[in-house]
Amino acid sequence: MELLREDTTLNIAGRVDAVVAPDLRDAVITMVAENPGLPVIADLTEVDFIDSAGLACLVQGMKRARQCSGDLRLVAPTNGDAFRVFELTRFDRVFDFVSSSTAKAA
Amino acid sequence: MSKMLQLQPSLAELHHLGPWLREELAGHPIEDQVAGIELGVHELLTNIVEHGQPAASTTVDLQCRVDDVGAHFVITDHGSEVEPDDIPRPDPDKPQVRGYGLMIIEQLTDIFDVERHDDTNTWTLRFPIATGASV
Repeated sequence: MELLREDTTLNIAGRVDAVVAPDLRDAVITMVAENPGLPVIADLTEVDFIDSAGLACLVQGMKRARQCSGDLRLVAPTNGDAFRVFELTRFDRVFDFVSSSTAKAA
Repeated sequence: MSKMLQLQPSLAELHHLGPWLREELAGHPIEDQVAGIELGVHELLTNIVEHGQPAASTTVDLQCRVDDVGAHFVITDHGSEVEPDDIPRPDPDKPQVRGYGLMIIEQLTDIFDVERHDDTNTWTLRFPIATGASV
């Protein structure tokens, strides 16, 4: 997994699973904590695999952000297989998904 | 003849799963479903390692067989006894942070079972060929 932070956007690439989940959780929680009340974006465009542990990091970040009247929004992976975990867990209906261009403008 | 995959019970070992699966499913109609199958098996292995906590001296063994119904897996581990039916599933209307592994596996498989003999859990999974796939 690769993480690159740009302002309020966290660009995530590669394989997001239980092995790297602690690093992702730290990055997401830190970013949310530094931007209280603001929308932050996790850009998953270049993620090619994500499991329930990776998903859990994003859910934790979203919950933390919404507690502070902010939000964690997502750019969906372009790889449909990587998006599957959101559909199987129904989190495709819980997260606010934005376009890649919206993320770049944030 | 299917080649067995033998893993140490560690999350770091899970990266061996994808290449093995792609090799096992190559040339079969279900090959196109390898990503979903990898996700399902990966979720089970993660649960085995994190919750079953098998001793480091043991292995988790995977065998795969493909027929015209689907991809069948038999996975054995030597962790603690697990009864999937006793594990509460998440409420879709109340998003929670963890607990989605079994929910994912159950949606991807049409057979998902575990038996305990002595100190061994034997998991049986079948991923059905998606409707419309050419057999």
